[in-house]
Amino acid sequence: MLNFFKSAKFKIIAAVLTALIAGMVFAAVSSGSTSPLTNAAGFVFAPLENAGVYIASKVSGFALSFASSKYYQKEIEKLELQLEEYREKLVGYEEVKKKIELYEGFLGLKENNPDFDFIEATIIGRDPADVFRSFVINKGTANGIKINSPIISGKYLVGVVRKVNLTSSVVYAVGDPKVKIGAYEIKSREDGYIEGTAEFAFSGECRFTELPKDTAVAEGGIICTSGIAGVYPRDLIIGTVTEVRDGDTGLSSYAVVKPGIDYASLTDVFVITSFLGQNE
Amino acid sequence: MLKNNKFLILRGGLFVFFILTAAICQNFRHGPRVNAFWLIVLPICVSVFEKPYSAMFFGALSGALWDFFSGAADGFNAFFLCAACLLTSLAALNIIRKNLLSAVILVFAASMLYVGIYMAFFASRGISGGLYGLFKGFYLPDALFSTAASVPVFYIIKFSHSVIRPKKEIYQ
Repeated sequence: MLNFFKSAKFKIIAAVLTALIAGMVFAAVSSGSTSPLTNAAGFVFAPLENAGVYIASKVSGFALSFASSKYYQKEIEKLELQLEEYREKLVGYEEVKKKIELYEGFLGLKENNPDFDFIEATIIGRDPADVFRSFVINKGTANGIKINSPIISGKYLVGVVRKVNLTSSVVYAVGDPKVKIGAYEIKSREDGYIEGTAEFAFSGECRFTELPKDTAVAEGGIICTSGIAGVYPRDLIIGTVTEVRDGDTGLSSYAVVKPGIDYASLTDVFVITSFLGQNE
Repeated sequence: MLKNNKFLILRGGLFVFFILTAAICQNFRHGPRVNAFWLIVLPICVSVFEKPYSAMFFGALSGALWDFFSGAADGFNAFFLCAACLLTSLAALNIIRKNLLSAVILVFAASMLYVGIYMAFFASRGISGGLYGLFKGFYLPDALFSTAASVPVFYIIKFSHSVIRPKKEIYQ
C-alpha cells in the first residue's frame, strides 16, 4: 500500500488532480473566465470537433438522400396540389377582376346617364364566315331586347342588335358596313358618320366620313356618338382617329377611326334597352 | 328491320358530339387571319361514309348550329350543308371512292362553293368595293385551311367507322 503512494503513477495522478482543482479555483476566482485547462483542451480538440461535425453532416445528408425519396415524393405531391389550388384561385381572381372592371365602367356610365336601362349579356358565339366580327349574345326578346338596341362595354360602343330571337340576339359590330352611326369629334365638334368598309375589314377600323376638306379633325381625336336619330345615346365613345385622308371625290375628307374595343377578347357586354331620347 | 342498331346509335351519338365540338371550335380564331370551317369539314367527311338520309341529318344539324351563330344567313347554312352532305353521300356510294383524296376534294369544293355563295349574297351587302381583297385575304385562306384540316378529320371519322360498326347486319 505504501509503495503505491510512493510510486510514480500516484504522483502523476495527484499532479493532474491538483492542476484540475487549481484551474477550477482560478475560474471561480476570475469571473467570466474559464479554466486554463479547459482552454487548452479546447485548443487541442477544436479541430477534431469541427472535423466530427463536418463528417456528421455529410453522413446525415447522404443517409437522407437514400432514405427519404418517399419523403420528397410526398412533398412534391403536396406542393403540386398546393400549386393547383393557387392556380385555380388565380383564375377565379382574374375573372373577378375582369367583372369588377366591367361593372366599374358600367357604374360610371350609369352615374353619368341615370336614364339608361341596361341588361348584362354574354357573347356565346361568333360567325367565322363574317369578317366584320358579328356575334351572338345570350339575351333576346324574353329579356326585353329589341332590334337596334345599342351594345356597350364600359363607355365604348360595341355594336347594335340587328336580329333578335327569344333567347339570343345577333349583334353587328362597329365597323360593319351594314351599320352607320351618327358621330362627332369631341374637340372640333365636327359631325359625320361612322361606317365600315372592306378596306378596313382586317384591321377592324372604320371611316368617319362626311368631313369637310379643311377638317379640323386630327390624329388622336376622340369620336363619340352624336345621338342623331335616337338609335344610339349621345357621347358613347367609338374610337380614336389614327389618320385623316382625302375623300374619293376630292371634295371631302374622312378620318380612319380605330375602335376602342378589342373584339377578339370581348366576352361580356351590356345592352341598353332604353334611354332618354330613344327613337326620337 | 335492322338489328344490332346500338352500334349505329353509338356512332351517330359520337358524330353528334364531334359536330358540337366543331361548332365550339369554330367560334375561336386559330390565327390572326385564319380559321377553319369545321362545320363544313366534319359533316362532309362523315357523309363520305354514311348513307344519304344520315348524311342529310348530320348536314342539317351542322348547318342549324352554324345558323345559330351566324349574323347573316338564317337557314342558309342548314340548307347548304344538308344539300352538300346529301350529294357527298350519293357521290361516295355511286361515283367516287371512300378515300382521303375524295374527301379532300369534296371539302375544298364545298368550302369554295360556300364562300362564293356567301360572298355573293351576304358579305357583299353594304360594301361598294374591295370584295376581291376580302376573298384573297380572308375567305380563300379559310377555305384552304379547311381543306388541310380535312385530313386529320377524315382519318378520325374513318377510324370511328371501323371501330364502331355492327358485326353483322340482319334485315327482316
